[in-house]
Amino acid sequence: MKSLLDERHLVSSFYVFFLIYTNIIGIGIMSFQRDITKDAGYDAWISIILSSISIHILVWMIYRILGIANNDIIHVHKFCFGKWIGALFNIFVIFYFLILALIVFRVYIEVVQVWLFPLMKTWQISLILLVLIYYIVSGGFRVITGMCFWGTILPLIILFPLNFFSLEFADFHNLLPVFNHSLKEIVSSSKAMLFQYVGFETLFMFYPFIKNPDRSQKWAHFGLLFSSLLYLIIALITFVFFSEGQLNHTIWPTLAQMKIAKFNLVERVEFIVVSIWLLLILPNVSVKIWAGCRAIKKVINVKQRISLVIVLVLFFIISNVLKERIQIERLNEMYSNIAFYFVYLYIPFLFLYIHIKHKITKGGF
Amino acid sequence: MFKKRRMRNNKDKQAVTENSQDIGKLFAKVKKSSDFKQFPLTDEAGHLIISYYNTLVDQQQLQLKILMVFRETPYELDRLEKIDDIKKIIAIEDIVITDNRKEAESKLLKGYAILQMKENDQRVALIHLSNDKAGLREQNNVENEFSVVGPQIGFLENIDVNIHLLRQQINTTDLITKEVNIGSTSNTRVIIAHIDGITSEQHVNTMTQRLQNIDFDVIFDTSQLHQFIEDNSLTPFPLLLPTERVDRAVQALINGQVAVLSSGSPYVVTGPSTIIDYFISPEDYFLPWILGSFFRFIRVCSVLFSIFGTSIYIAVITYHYEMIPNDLFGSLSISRYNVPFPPVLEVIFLELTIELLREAGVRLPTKVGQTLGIVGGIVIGQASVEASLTSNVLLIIVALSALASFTTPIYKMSNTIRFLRFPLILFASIWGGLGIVIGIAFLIIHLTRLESLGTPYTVPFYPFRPEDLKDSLIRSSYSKTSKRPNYLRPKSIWRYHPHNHKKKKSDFDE
Repeated sequence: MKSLLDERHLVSSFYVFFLIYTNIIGIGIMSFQRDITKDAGYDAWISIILSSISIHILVWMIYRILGIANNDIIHVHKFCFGKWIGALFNIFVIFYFLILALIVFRVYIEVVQVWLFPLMKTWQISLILLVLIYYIVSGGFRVITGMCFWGTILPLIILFPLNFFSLEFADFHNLLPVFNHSLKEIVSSSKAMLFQYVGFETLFMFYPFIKNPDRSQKWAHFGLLFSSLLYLIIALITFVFFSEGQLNHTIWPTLAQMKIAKFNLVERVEFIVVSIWLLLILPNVSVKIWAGCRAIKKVINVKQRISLVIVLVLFFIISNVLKERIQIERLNEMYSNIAFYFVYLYIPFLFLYIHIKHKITKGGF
Repeated sequence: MFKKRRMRNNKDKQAVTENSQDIGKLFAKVKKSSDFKQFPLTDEAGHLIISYYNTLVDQQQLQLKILMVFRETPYELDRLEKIDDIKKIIAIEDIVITDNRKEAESKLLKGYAILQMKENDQRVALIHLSNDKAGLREQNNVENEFSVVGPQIGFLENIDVNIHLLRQQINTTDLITKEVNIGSTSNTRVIIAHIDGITSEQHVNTMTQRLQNIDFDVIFDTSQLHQFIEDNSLTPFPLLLPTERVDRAVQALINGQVAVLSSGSPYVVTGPSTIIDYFISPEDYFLPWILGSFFRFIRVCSVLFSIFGTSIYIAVITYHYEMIPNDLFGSLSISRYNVPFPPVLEVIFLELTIELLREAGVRLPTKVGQTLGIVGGIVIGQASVEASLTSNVLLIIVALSALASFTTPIYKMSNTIRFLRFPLILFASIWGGLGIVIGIAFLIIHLTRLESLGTPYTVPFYPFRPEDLKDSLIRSSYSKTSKRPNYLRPKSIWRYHPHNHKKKKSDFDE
């Protein structure tokens, strides 16, 4: 398949692994345990697997949709719904990506304020982080992918092993009895888990930037598999470390369990953990902002350099306006509802619709 | 805009040359210099006139090859009817017959003598008498990239000797040297060397193109050229690798890089380079691969320590003192007990002292420099601790990180590392550990954005090339590194074919 873009902007299909991974693993992995155990208790690990399977199917669908169009979702919308309605959908997509980025960004700032610097003003930290994001996104997609690469490798080497220190105090009986919850409870916990996977839809935007996109599908699935494994391992460690009642009062269980690690030279690691977490957050946020800006460019033809600055200024303002945790949580909840419908209803709908339309127009695109 | 200006410049130059086409005007101009000589070779005035700068030519050659011929054996004169016949009489290989005034002028300035049959003759012979070696250094020991094992041959200021050194090792006709002259005043000879059939044409063309586009007056050194031709000038990192070691330059050429030599510079610039190239010492290849890899690893670690050591100290002491274990806390707090400054001032004070010592040590003559090191290192360090301006622990960290920054084999990179510390110190003093990670993120993005002659700077890590990792952080054995690195896009991938002897899987005692 011939690509629409200049060769030097493309990344090889292997990097889809890192792109998918960093888009999924962001802020959620610090706190997802509490949300998923609300309904399914310690059977929630089943719902991690269930939701992972469903996302695999969705990724497959996305590849089919984009395979027909050989372009991004903006183009797909224009093709399916015409210029005006398509534009409406596209504007929704822009907001979808940008708000997701905003939530991740704001929650990370909150984590920093809670764990590192309680007195730090939001504007200080958001300003420097936004400058950093500008530097990443303005480098273009290859630089963003590079950041995804490093943001995968470095935290994985440094942070992931810290989880295992808490196994010293593990109680494996916590996991028993298995299948203690009804199917309905497990499904509703899967729904909560879904929000942790949100972000993989940026594939809709960066698909044209992949060299040999048709060959990249296996890497997308690998990335997805790897992230769900990571979720599973961390969830299991949390389940054996915390009792259910304890977990209910812990907002960031992953951080709390990493805190157990202790070394000869370093007594408390959470300062290191929260700092290095930034390397995961940065690519996560920048891919989404990049996707938003790219969509803006394609819909209303504004240069990415300009729209990026506007978006970042908006980020700065909004993240300062959202002062309390309750506000952030409300935004989060609202967004996860929308994301649920977007992912589970809209993507299959688009999948069917484009197939039918493709058949009717006899492959004309 | 630049193009236009250049075109206009060219026009101006043409106009000038047309006006003063004749050689006479050239002589009128050069006669103003006291070292210019012009006299007839024979007794006949206005006949066989030789003109040259006596500071540029080799006096001995002039006397032996020219004056002897014309003054001792007068019968030769009969054979000389046209200026073109001069080639038969004078036993010098490089004689050019021309009537081009521009060529005459440039050759005259390169140490040629101009010979005219008659005064105001336009057609002249240019005889090569230049004295290339005059005033140049003869000793070519490696001075700045020293190694214990291996050859100690370095490049010299003489470009022909340098090419000679390269040709000794790369003994094939495939070593191609392309010459360009750069510098409107200095007219410096710059040579682009590459190996035909190995180096990607793209690199050679990019390099040549960029060198030809340079518009500058005097080229002193290749490090200047380096600044003109690198891809991004807004970076502290060197994007092309300067080296004074012959083996290093040969290695680069063999791998498929391009080398640039400039007359008057003992440094050869090679490219495209990657960040890991700056941590590779030729000595790694002379040691067994396990030792080579180990020392390379030590080098990389020490550089990381050198960059982050002091900023981590600031972050921990200022913000994250909870991180310090109980046992360590006692000694740390005692060492800082009397220090009245915040850690960041303490660090900046010490770091600047070390930088000052280093800078002064470089400028001073060697013998005084050594004394200065002792005075600075021991006396000032000890005194500042006793005066409780700084803490003992910090003194150790700063001294170690200064030491560690010297482990990079390439001086330019060690400068970069010296510099990188300061922004990180600033970040750490404002945002603690988070600040350091912000600094790291900036560094990573910056490195990812860099390119050297169009090749990504962080290859083989990103873009990830597992094949090329064999000679990056570790130096694999020679049987594994028989292929050239892929990122250089060499035309032939095999450097040599390693012996494929099968591993004997015999049991012991058999």
